[in-house]
Amino acid sequence: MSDAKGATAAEAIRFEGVSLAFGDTEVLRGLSFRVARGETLVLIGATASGKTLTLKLALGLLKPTRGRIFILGHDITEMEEEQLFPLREQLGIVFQEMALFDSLTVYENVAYRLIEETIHGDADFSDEEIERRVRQVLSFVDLEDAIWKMPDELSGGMRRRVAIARALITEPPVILYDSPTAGLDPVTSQTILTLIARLRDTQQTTSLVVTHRLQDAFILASNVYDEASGSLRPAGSNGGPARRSLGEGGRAAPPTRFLLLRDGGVYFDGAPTELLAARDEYVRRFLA
Amino acid sequence: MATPVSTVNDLLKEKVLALQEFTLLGWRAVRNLFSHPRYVADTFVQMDNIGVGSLPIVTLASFFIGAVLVLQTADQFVRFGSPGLTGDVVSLALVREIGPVIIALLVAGRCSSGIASELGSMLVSEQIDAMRALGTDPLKKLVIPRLVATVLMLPLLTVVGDFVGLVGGLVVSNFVIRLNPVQYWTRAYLAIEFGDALQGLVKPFVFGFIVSLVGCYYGLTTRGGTQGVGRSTTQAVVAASVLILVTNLFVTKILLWVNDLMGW
Repeated sequence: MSDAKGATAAEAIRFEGVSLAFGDTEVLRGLSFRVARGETLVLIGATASGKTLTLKLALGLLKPTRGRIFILGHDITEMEEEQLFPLREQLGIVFQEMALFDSLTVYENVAYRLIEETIHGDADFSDEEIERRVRQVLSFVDLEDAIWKMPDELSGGMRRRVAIARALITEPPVILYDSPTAGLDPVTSQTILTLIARLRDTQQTTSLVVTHRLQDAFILASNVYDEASGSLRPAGSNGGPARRSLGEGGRAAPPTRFLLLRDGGVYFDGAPTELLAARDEYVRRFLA
Repeated sequence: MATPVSTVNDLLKEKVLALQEFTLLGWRAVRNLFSHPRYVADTFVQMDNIGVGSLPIVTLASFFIGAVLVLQTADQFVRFGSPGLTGDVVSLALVREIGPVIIALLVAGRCSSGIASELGSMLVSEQIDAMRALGTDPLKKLVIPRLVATVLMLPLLTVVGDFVGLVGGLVVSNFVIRLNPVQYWTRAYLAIEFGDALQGLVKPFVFGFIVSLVGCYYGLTTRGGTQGVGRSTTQAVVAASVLILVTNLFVTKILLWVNDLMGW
């Protein structure tokens, strides 16, 4: 299935020559990439290379000055805000600074989307149903005890997990993560990465992960979630974009691609192994 | 290099753009006033915050304004041997002019700043973006409940403020110029005609619109982190106060013309 512009149903996200300018300053230049459904695209790049802006463009929070953006087969480039709201229900986002509503409890933050859908008339969730789903998703991120706390009573790692719980309450097929491990200690970072891998491997969510921590990106690319132990374990080799192969443990390696941004444009687009094998000086310097 | 002409040009463009954005925000808010979804609970929360929350300062200020009005005017009326007219003057001044304007300025100081800082903080901490990403229109969720709450509560606050101001005048007229309270109150009551009451009630509706919309506009256009939030808060109070005073002139002129036309 494809729409008039050629965006296929197998694609979750597609950028076609996207540019973004603020005044006279062009911050993104002709950005083009695709993310297949179920695939994880790790967006890496130096500070101010346009990673967060790319996420905001994918959500329709910003409009490109040139190019086209397709989300789940829909061309969102010229969509009005009103038209974007139903589509955003299929996208979850974890902001870099979490962006939790600081005057609402953890429960209200996580339940926000369900309450909104009820107000909008799109669904009719009872209070019991909302609490059941909030508790379920909070237990998924191992934070059920914090349900009635305010965001400012939580640690950075806990707030990040609340943000993830809020993003996945409606089980969206696509989740966007903006620097999900930024500013966290190694143990908490590992917990967050395990959560991302768990969502990816158990619910086959499409992920667009922005990070400047290469180590985290490679952990996501080379590990799978082990349901028995509740932790990550190494997967098999990752041969290329969206291609699965059996790993040592018999589990397929996650379909992961890396997109390296430089000066607002795509500098590298390929599998983790291709990135590691690249001879380009900038890539080598970036990996070092 | 920027020349003085280009600097003035840029400044003017900036102001015109701001006016355009403010007008568009107002137009979108009015256009979506009754559209779905309606955040009724949020509107009641704002009515409590803006209306009930402003009640102490409005009553306190109104009492002393009424009292000082008597002090300033009674002396003149006593000199002409008509102290009873004090009630007329205080009543007319409070209901037609001082009540709506002073109370709107007080509410602007309290609520335009509060709205601007709240929305500004939400903007700089990406909560507005999160709201949009979670499928909520910030205009409907944040702007319209505040607009409706202010437009509904400011006239009520004005009525309460006018009453308390008259009571303040009554207390001072009784204790300072020894005016009979019944005489003061009867004259104050009889002095107000329909046209005066109309002026006193129409103005708060207009001012309520200004107070909330200016707060929302500056909050939603905040730039520059926490410092920007502080700047937006100050600008909101200044702009709302100036707009109230300027608008008051035109609304008064229009209402006087309507009164003449209708013979009220």
